[in-house]
Parts: sequence; C-alpha cells; structure tokens
Amino acid sequence: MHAYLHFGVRSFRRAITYRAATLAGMATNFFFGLVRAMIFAAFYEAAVAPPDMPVEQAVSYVWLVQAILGLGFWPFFSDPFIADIRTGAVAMQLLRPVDYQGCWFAHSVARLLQMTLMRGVPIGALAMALGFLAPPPSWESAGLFVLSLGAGMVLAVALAQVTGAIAFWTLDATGPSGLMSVLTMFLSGMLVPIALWPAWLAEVAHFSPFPGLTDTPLSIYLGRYVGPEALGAIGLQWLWAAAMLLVARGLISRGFSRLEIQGG
Amino acid sequence: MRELRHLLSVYFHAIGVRLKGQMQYRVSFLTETAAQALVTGLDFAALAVLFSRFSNLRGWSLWEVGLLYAIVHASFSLAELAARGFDTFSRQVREGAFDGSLIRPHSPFFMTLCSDFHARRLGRLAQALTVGIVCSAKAGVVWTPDQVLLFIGALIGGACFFVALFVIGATLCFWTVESIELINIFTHGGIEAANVPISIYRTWFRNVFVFVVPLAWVNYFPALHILQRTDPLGFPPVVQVLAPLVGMMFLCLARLVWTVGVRHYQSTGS
Amino acid sequence: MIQATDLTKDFRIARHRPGLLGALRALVVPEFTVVRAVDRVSFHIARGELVGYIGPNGAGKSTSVKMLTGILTPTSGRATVGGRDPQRQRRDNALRMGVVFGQRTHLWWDLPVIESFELLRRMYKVSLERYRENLDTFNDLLDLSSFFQTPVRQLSLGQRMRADIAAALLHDPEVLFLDEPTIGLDIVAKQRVRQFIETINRERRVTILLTTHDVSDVERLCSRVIVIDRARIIHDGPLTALRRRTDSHRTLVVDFAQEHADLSLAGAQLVEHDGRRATYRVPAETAPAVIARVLSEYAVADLSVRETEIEEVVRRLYEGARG
Repeated sequence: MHAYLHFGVRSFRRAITYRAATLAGMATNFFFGLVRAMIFAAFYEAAVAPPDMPVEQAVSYVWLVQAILGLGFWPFFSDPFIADIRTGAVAMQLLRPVDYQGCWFAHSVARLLQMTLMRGVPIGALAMALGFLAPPPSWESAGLFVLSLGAGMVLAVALAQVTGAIAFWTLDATGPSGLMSVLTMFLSGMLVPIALWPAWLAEVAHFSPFPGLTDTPLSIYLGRYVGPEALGAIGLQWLWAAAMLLVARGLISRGFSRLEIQGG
Repeated sequence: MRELRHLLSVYFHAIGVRLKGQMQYRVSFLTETAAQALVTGLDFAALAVLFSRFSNLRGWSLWEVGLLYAIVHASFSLAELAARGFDTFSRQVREGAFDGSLIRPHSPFFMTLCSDFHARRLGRLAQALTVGIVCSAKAGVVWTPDQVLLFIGALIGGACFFVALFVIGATLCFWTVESIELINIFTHGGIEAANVPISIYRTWFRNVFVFVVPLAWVNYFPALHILQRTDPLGFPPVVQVLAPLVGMMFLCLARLVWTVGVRHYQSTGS
Repeated sequence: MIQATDLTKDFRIARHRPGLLGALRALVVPEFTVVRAVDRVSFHIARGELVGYIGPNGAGKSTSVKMLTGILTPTSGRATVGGRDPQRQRRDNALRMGVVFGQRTHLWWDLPVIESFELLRRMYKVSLERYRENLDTFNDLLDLSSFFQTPVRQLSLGQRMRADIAAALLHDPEVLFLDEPTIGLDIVAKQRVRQFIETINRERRVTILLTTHDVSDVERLCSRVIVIDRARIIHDGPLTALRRRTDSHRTLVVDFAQEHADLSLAGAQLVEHDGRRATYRVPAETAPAVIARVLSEYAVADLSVRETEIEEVVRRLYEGARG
C-alpha cells in the first residue's frame, strides 16, 4: 500500500513538470467558457416556461465544465500504461512484484489530480472573479462537491482502464478510445447539462456511469442535489467506479494470461 | 497558366500517393473516419438537444443553425485536408526538415502544402455536408444555381480562412520552439463560436470576428443570403455575396506573413 | 562552377540569463552575442572537380554549404553556383543542383522510396524516359530495387544514404553538394557510396563538393581539399600539398636479419626497438639517403616506409593554424 502511495506522489510531482495545463490551453478553455455561456444565455431568451435549471446555474455549469475538463477528456494517447499494452512492452510487467492495475491507478489518479488542480483552480478563480461563476450556495454543497469530484476522478480512471485494457486485444487503440470519448463527451453532460435534456434521453444517460464524471459533481456544486440525494448520487459514482475497476481488473488479468499463452 | 497546372498536378499527386497508402489499411481507415464523423457530430447533437428544450435561438431555428454548422465544419475539414502540412509544421521545424523545402525548385509554401495529408478528415467533411443538406431542406432553402454557387464559394472562402490560420500558426514556429497553441483558440474556438449565428454574441466579441479574424465571413454572411434572412446586424446585403472573397484575402495576408517568417529562418538558421 | 567570395555568416545567439528575473529580463530586453560561423571564406571550384571540404566539428562546413545551396542567407560576401545566386535565384539554382545531407534525409518520411522518387521526378520536371534511364543506372550501381517499396522511415542508414544520393541525381544536376554522406556507415557501405560518387563525377562530369568529417573519404576521392577550421579556410589545394605543409617526416620500419645491440642510425631518430624490429623517424628529404645506407650497411629482412596518417596531417594543420 505504501509503495503505491509513494508511486502516486512521484507521479504527481512529475506531472506538475509536464505543464500540461499550459497558459495557451487554459486560454482555450476560457474562450470556450465565454462562447458557450453566451450561447446558453441567448437560448434562454426563448424559454416559454422557466426550465428546471435557471440561466445563472446553466452559465455557472458551463464555466465549471471548462474548469474540470480533465475528468471528461482522458489523454489516451499520452498514457504510458496504455501505450505499453499496445506495444506489448507490458509483458515485462509480468516479472514485477507490484500489481499492474495498482500502479496504473496510482499514476493516473495523480496525473488527473494534477491536471484538474492546475487547470481548475486558475480558471475557476478567474471565472468567479469576473462574476461568471457563482460560488456554491452553501458550505455543505461545497464539501459534497469536493467529495463528488474525488469520486468522479476515480470513476474517470476506472473507465480509462477499461478502455485501455481493451488494447490487449485490438492492435489499434483509437477504436475503443474514440468511442469512449464520444460516449463520455455526450452522456456525461459535458456539452449540455442533463437537466436540460429531454426526459427520455436523460433516462438513458442515468443508466450509464458517465453522468458521474461531470453532471453529478456539478449538480451537487450548484445545490441541485442536497443532503441524502447528494450522498446517494456520490454513492452511485462509487458504485460505478468499483464496478468498472473490477471489470478492468478482469480484463487486465485476462490480457496478461493471453500474453503468457502467446509467449509474451 | 502552365505553371499553375504543373503545381496542381504535383500537389494532387502528392495527395493521391498518401491517400492510396492510407486506404491500404482499410479497417483502420474506416474506423478512424467513422470516429471522426461521430466526434464532430456531437456539436450538432448538443445543439439539437438545446433546440428541443428552447424553441429557437434569437429567432433562428435548428435547421437554419444547422446550415451555419455545416458550412463552418465543412470549411474546416477542407482546410485540414488541403493543408495538413502547415498543421504539423512545428514538428518539421524542430526536426530540421524545413531545410528540405528550401533546396527544391518550388516555393517553401508549396513544399509545406505538399508535405502531409490525412484522409480521415473526410469523415468530418461527409458528416458536415450531410447535416447541411438535410438542414437546408428542412429550412426550406431553394437551391437555385446562384445559391449553390454561393454555398460552394462559402466553402472555398471558409477553407481559405482556416488554411490562413494554419499558415499563421506555422509561421510562428519560425520564432519560438514551442508550437503556439494560441492558434487553436481561433480554429477550434472559432468553430465553436461559428456554430451559431455570430449575431448572438456581445458586440465587442462579435466585432473581433467580423473585423479582425474574419470568421463571420465564413458562414454567417453567406448563410444569411442562402436562408434569405435579413441581417440583424444591419450590414449591407452585398457583403453576403462577397463574403468568400474575405477568406481568400485573409489567406493572401497569411502568405505574406509566412514569407517574412521564411526570410527570418534563412537569416538565423534553425 | 562554384564561386565563394568573402562569404561570411554571423549568428546572433540570444543570451540566456539565469534565474526567474534573468528570464524576464531576457524576454523584455534580449541581449545577443554574435558568433561568426563562417569568416570571409573564398574559393573557386571549376566544373567537373571533386573537391573535399573538411574541418573539425563546428568549423563552419555545414553553414557554408547551406549558404551555397540557398538555405541560409550570408551576412556578407557573395556566392555563385553555375553563375546563379543561390539566394536570389533559389529555384533556378535548385533545379540544377543536388543536395544530400547525411544527418537527415529530405525525402518524404511517410512515403515509399519509389514514390519519393516519383514525386521528385514531377517536381523537377524530369522526362519519363530520362527518369527511367537514371533509375536503372543508379539501381545497377547502388542496388536500390530491394527497398523501393519500403517507406523511407523504415530504411536502414545505409539504404537511406543510397536512396538520398540517387534522389539527388535524378534530375541530372550540374552540381552536387554532399554533406557527410558516409557518416555512420560501415566499411562496405562507405566503399559503395564512394565508388558511386567517383563514377558520377567521372562519367557525368558533375561538380562535387564533398563535405566530410572522415578524412579517408577525401583521401580516396579528392585530388583537392579545402580545410576549414574555426570559420576560416586554412588550406586550399591538392592533397599532396597538404602533406608537404605538415608532413615533414617519414616513419621507417626496419626488420633486421640479426640482432644488433646498437640500432641507432645517423640522421634518424629511433622511436621504438622491439627485438629485430626498429622504428625510426626520418626527415622526408633525407629518408632516401638513410634507407640506402641501412640497406648497404646491414642485412635487412624487411623494410617499409610510411607516410604519416592523413588524420595526423590534418590534425597538425589545425594545431598549426591555432598555434
């Protein structure tokens, strides 16, 4: 356990030097936030009856999406663990005493944490300072939001592992990762908050793990889920995360056996 | 004229060779193209969801906005298909490959244009055009010959606009080692902004895209004419027909900037 | 054919200052140091010559070649290639010259070799007939067909070099610039490339400027060598003249028939003594006389006279210039 913690901290430190959230990248996010907020505001002018989500919340939602973008966009192509699986170099891991999934998990969480903090904090702070983003309505919401964000990160890593593990079987990782990106971007609520979706589509989304990446934590932030409802939502995030981690574990061990049979 | 014909034949040969090579990997080619189409179609899907909740966007219907979406996405895909060499230019400069463009009997602009091609962008182009055709039908567009001509002109002008952005982005690589991601704000950010009528934005924001970086001329003005709408911004209707020219002029400007960059490279080395 | 007159190239290198404050200062008020990479280099190469251009790393070889090929603009001085200015008439010049850079290829990375050739054929407007003739000839000499279909990025170093040289000659250039064409190659590959260069020069009268780090390239191929060190030319002339300038001594190795206690020779410096073999260092002029004396005074089983290795000669030249 201690080894994984150490590995995670080292990955975190190294990830900071990547400067993944470059100034230009953040500027791009900021621009997207501006554009999308204006588009939403313009749409709301046509609202005949007030929708479930008031315009202020929708605008805040848009800015929050830009801040925590790291949860929805998994950098599949720069993930060294997935690259190893694709190239077959992962066979060397069979010789190591550490758990492959554990290492991968620690590394990924560290990296995601770094990306989210380095991007989210500046963008969030700037958006708040400019009055685009409203702070959470209560300390309770703020606290629950942090919990939900954490759960969301674990879920994101779990989904990435499932996607990446498929590379044990396919030569090319672009298929599964492309599909995963599409599903994630849409069903997580990154483009449009699920509160604004037609009911039947929202139902479909709620049967998938994806809302836990974006819509759930952000709805908690906005105070749309409070108290037991919020805790239930967070619980659901953890449930999905655990399930996906198990699936990933199964895939990885199956993948390793396949490698062993093939002779590595 | 003969020179132009020669350049075109070399250019299309360079593209053709790569297209042939990429199509050999049939499965990979198809999945990548399909994935491209899906991912870029999400923008339209998001708009559809919003339109199902809100009936219109400042008086524009989903179908009318769909035409805007189609033109800008198709223009961008054409630009990516035609000029990928400029998109990947930062790597070329870093690896010292640009010298190779200077020892050939063609302009370094032309050499860079011929230096790369990726067929997978065809997915996005096909998807954008499909959406465009469907939406324009639902919006009640009558495709008279002059409308068709304007549509094609808009695509060409729009492609010129995006190629110009690629060229400017590539030129910046002559000065800094880091590839400037700032250009992404104008390409991907620009597409995001142009998916909807540019008239919905605040004045200061809108004016940048009308007067400085001519994004509005890519799809907004031509669409107004095709949809037979009056311009809420109050520009004279003639600009709608002349819009494609603005993209082409922007490309000429970018070409000049590029020449400055090449001269700088030749005096300072790599 | 190639004329360089007081060709000079200065580079302005931005000074990097340490620390955060330094970095900020460097951004706002950049300071430059001027490095002179090529200093008033002048030479004339006639049509059909095969000239070697050697010098230590960083001497200015590649920079001079880049100016002659139109890649870099000179700070001052002039260059003409075939009567054309490589900068002002870059495209005209490019049509009639070939360039090979040993460090990296300028063929298209992602295309098969034959497709790169095809593309070049079109760019240089080579007639199909002439293209096929050249391709056949080069294939005979360099055995290219075995990797025609291989993408350039997958070629071995030796294959890539052969492809590069063939590509540079497809359009029948008048002038060929070879920048380190044998770098990293094994002996067999080097031999093949050298043979090809020699053939091209002899049969097609292509003027060749061969820049190389490897002095034995020059020794095998060039009758004339230009030596550059620290941006300046320190020698321009036949290889023999180079020797004469720095190579004043010969090495004499004598295998005596019998053991001798005292193997000293008048007019010769005994360098080494191992059993019956003695190695002497003798001034070049007196070497014949010393040899005659040894043969007449002693019973000799074997005798050899060696010139100093060319690398040694060149090294002495650098040292002489710097001293």
